[in-house]
Amino acid sequence: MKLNNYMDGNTKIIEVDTVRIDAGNSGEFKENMSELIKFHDAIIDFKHLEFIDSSGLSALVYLHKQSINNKTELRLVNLSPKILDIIKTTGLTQILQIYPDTESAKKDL
Amino acid sequence: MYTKPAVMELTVPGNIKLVSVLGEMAELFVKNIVKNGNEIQDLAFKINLVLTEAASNAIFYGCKHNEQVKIRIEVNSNTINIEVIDKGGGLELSDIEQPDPFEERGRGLYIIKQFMDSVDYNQSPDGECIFTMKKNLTTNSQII
Repeated sequence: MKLNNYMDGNTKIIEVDTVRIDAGNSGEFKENMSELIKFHDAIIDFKHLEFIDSSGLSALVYLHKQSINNKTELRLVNLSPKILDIIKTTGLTQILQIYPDTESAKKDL
Repeated sequence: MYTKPAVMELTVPGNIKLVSVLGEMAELFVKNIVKNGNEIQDLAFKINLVLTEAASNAIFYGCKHNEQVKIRIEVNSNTINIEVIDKGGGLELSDIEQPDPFEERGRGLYIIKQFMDSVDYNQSPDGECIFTMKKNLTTNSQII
């Protein structure tokens, strides 16, 4: 799984270059992303993502908790309507920081 | 008009890397069998999701000694019936509630229960665990 990333000021922007996160690759996603966001505010761009299952959601919860512990911001952008539907169904809109696009997510970082 | 059920049966090794293939195959199968206008895209996507969840559970909990997992998807004029069969130790389906948002586990069965019309679980006398999910089709659905 490719996680293309670069710094924009003090914020790390990470583009997830996969169409699917499920139990077959969510462990790799969690570990690699955890390293990338360890020391920075981060925006994860999911514009290529078409599918996520509960193990992928669990990885997002883990990363969200890590960012709270590290006192950094973690924001998710460009989630498709189908993926937003799963996130809403599982109640995760209560905690995850979701923005429509990178520009709006960058505003108060 | 009576249309014979369309059935897809698969027996695969209990390897977690295969859940993507199983989910995507289920989505394609349903998308090409059921015709109900724009709704089919959403329905087929959800079948992909619930099968991915059920197959992941079967592989994690029912294939501790590299056993195989069996999948059976039957589409008839009223319903989509899915069975996922493994050699697992059992499931408790009665009180599945929405997990706490900060909890990192326990969303798979909750997602299945939200998106399917009924979910059941039985253990056969020879030790097979049969997880069954059913989705009712809308009245405008046609089966090829």
